Amino acid sequence: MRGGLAIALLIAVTGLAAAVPALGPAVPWMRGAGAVFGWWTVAGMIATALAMRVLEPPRDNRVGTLSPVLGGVLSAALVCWRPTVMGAVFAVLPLAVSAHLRLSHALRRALADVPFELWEAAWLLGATRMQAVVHVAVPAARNLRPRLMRAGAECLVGLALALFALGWTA
Amino acid sequence: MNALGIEARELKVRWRGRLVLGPLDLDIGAGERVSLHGAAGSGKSALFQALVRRDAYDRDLRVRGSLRLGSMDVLGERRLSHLRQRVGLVPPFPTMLPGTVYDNVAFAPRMRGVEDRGALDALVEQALRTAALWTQVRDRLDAPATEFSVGEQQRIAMARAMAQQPGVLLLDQPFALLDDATARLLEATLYELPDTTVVLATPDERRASRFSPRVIELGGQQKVAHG
Repeated sequence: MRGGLAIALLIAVTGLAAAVPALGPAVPWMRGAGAVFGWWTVAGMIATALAMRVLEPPRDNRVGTLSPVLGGVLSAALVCWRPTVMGAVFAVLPLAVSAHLRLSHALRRALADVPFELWEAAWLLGATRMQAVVHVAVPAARNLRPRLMRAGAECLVGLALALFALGWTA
Repeated sequence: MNALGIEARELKVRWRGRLVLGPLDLDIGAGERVSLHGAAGSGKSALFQALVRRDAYDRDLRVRGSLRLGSMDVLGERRLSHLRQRVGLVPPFPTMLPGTVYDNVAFAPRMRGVEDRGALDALVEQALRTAALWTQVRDRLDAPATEFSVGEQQRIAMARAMAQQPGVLLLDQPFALLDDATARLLEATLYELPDTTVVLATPDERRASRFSPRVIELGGQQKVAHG
C-alpha cells in the first residue's frame, strides 16, 4: 500500500516538474522538453494507476473506491483530447467524482471501525445520526486521520495529473 | 409536566424470530415509580428496547402492537432522536463516550441545543449529585471518562441519563456493578427523582420490592403484567 502510494507521489512530483516548463510560455525549448517528458510522465502515471488498481484491489468492489489517480488520468486524457474551455470543464468531472468517492469511502471505512456501542450510546442519548458522527464517531475514529491523508494524497496526485495536462495543452 | 406515562397493548417483541416478550398489556402512570421483576429472559430489557426503538437499528428485533409514551405513539414515531430525548436508559454495563466526564454528562443537553455554560454546569452538577458521584469527580470533571472505575462509569452513565431530563427513566439492572451500600443510596435517590417516571428492571425480588411498592411481574407469555 505504502509502496504504491510512494510511487504515485514520485510520479506526480515528476509530472508537476514536467508541467512547469509546459506552463512557462517564455522558453520554447523548455516547453518542448516539457511536452516530451510530459507524455512519458502521463504514460507512467497511467501505468502506475493501473498497477495500483491491480496490485492493491479495494477490500470491496464498490465504485466508491475508484482512485482519484485514475480520475486524474481520465481528466488529463479528456483535456488532451478536447483542449477547449468546455473540454476542460467536462474534464474536471472524473477527478471531482473520484475524489469525492474516495474521500467519502475513506471516511465511511474509518467510521465503520468505531465500536457500535458508541453509536448506540449516542443515539440513546437523543443524538441524531449527524450529531453522532460529529460528536462521537469522529473523535473515536483513531484511524480517521491516516485514512483521510492517504485519500487526500491520491486526490493530490490526480489533481497534479489534470493540472499537468491543462498546462501542457495551454 | 415532564413525566410521561407508559401504555402497552398487545405488545410483542421478537428477537431473531423468537418471542421474548408478550403479548403484554401494561399501564404505568406519569411520575410513577415501578419495579419490573422477572428472571433472565423474562422480557424486562425487551420492553425497554421497544421503548427506545432499538428495532430501528437492530434488524433482529421486531416490535408489534401498541406502545404509547404520554401522547406519543412510540412505534409510529419517525423522529427517533426526539423520542429518545424523552426516554433515559441506563443499561447494565456503561459505555463511555469519547471525552471527559463533563462531556459525557453534558452530552444530551448539548444535543438538545443547550449551549449556555452556566446552564450546562448546573445540569452536570445536579446529575452527578443525584448519581452520588459529585464529591468524587468535582475536581476531575476534565478527566477522560474512561479513566474511571467501572462502578464510577456506571454512575456517570446514570448521571448522563438524568442530565437528559427524560420524561421516563428506564433502569436496566443498573446496580450490578455497584456495592450494596451505593446501590441502596441510589435506589433512594432515584425514587425521589422529581417529575420523572422511573422504571427499575431487576431479577432481584427484594430489590424490586424495596425500590417501589408497585412491582410488575414479567415472565412467561402473559397477557397482562401483574402489579
